[in-house]
Amino acid sequence: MRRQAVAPDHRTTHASADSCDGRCTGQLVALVTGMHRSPILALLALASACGLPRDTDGSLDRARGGVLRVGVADHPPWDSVTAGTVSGLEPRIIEALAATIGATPTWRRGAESELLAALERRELDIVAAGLTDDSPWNGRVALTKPYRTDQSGGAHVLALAAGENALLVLVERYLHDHEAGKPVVGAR
Amino acid sequence: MRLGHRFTFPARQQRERHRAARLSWVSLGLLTTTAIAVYVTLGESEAMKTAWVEDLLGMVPPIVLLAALKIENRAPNQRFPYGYFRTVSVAFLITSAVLALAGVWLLYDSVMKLLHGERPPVGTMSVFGHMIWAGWAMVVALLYCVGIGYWLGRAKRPVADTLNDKALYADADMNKAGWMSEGAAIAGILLIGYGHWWGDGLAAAFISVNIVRDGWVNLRQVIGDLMDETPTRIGGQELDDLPERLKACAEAMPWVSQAAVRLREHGHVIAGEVLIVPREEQDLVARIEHAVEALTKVDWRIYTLTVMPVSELKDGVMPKQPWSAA
Repeated sequence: MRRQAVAPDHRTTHASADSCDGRCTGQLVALVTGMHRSPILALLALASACGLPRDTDGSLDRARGGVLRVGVADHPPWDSVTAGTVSGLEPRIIEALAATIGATPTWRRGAESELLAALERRELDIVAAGLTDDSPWNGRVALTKPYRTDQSGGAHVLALAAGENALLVLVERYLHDHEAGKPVVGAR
Repeated sequence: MRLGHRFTFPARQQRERHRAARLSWVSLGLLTTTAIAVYVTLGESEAMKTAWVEDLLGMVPPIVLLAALKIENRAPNQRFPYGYFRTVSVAFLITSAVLALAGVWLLYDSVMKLLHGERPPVGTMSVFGHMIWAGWAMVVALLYCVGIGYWLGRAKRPVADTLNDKALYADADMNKAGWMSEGAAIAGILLIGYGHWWGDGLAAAFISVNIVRDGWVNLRQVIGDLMDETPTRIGGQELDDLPERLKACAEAMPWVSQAAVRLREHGHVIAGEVLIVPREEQDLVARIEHAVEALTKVDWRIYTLTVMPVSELKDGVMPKQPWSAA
């Protein structure tokens, strides 16, 4: 109920979520093939596969057809921030990702620590700062699965607010489908 | 009569001992698989972490039990004239202390996470090339654990009953507590799935309370054993009626006017003293030896009894019902 109050355009987004159904079928197939003789589980999964997980704060619902609040710190070649423009691999990924849910990214420029602190306070949805999976912020914010490895072995990730698992799953799926396996980007 | 004879278990108990050992090995094997299943899907969930620790701790009792089954029936020797039956108690003292401490630590951890409002991030996991929500993988792993724990607990109970094996009983109890808390972890994961972040910490807290409870129950039992508590019934604090049965058996002998009994448990077996006021003192030595033999047959658990003739039983010589004052 509360969810709909937060996201009045919920219904329209569900119409655009028909790709979700395909994904859920995939989930189920994986589940069913992954387990030996657990029909109860299959039913359980069938009952609730779609729509889970949900965000603790409804970030994805808010972003669908709305605004995705992105923090971006200068960290070439991953992120380049100048007075007027934001460019680099990660902003490109986020723009494409936002487009899949009809969201418009708004960019907040800043230092990595400042942006991550804002992310922890849930003032942002996602932070692109050329982060790696050994970031000391792990635990205070949610890091995605690594999507690229740089030449010095750093496994690169994006950061999301902790507990926004629907958005996290969406971002990780996008990264897996579109970015995994692409050639490594130059050293940091 | 001789000191330091080796205790022989009756055939039925001997069979059950083998079964207990087999079940312990099976437990170790299955718990290894559940620990791996939970570890692989662990992620950032506190509930999964506590379930995993509980799984690992669940391996300690079978190990202890296997060691005890091997060592306890060694023949008594000059250094250990009462034999090795207390190995079980010593091993369980260590286990239960570890359990209680680990439980307290996990409880602190999960309560702090709840208080800080930490929201567990649970992202995706790749299963056969499909990116599924990692929560589903956790639920599958936990369901597997629930099944294993349920079966293990059920299989151990009857064996523990026949053997009057409190260690095995406690182990079965831990399996039960284990699968119930894994059920709680499933609820926690599903709550995360529905966007209720506190479900994770709550499930974790519930599991850790279970671990503390396991530790406390075992600790209490083993301390009782080491304090020479009178035999208690398996799975509870009720006193065994064995002292009364021995007293009745002794007083049924025609040459006995009065008897008093004091018993203590040494792991699986029982030792103690019987004081007897004889009616007539003719052939006393032979009668006492005969009485030891007859009394030992009252229960298979009796390992060593000392029968002592006395001229009278004064009030206060024998213990009153413990706890009855409370």
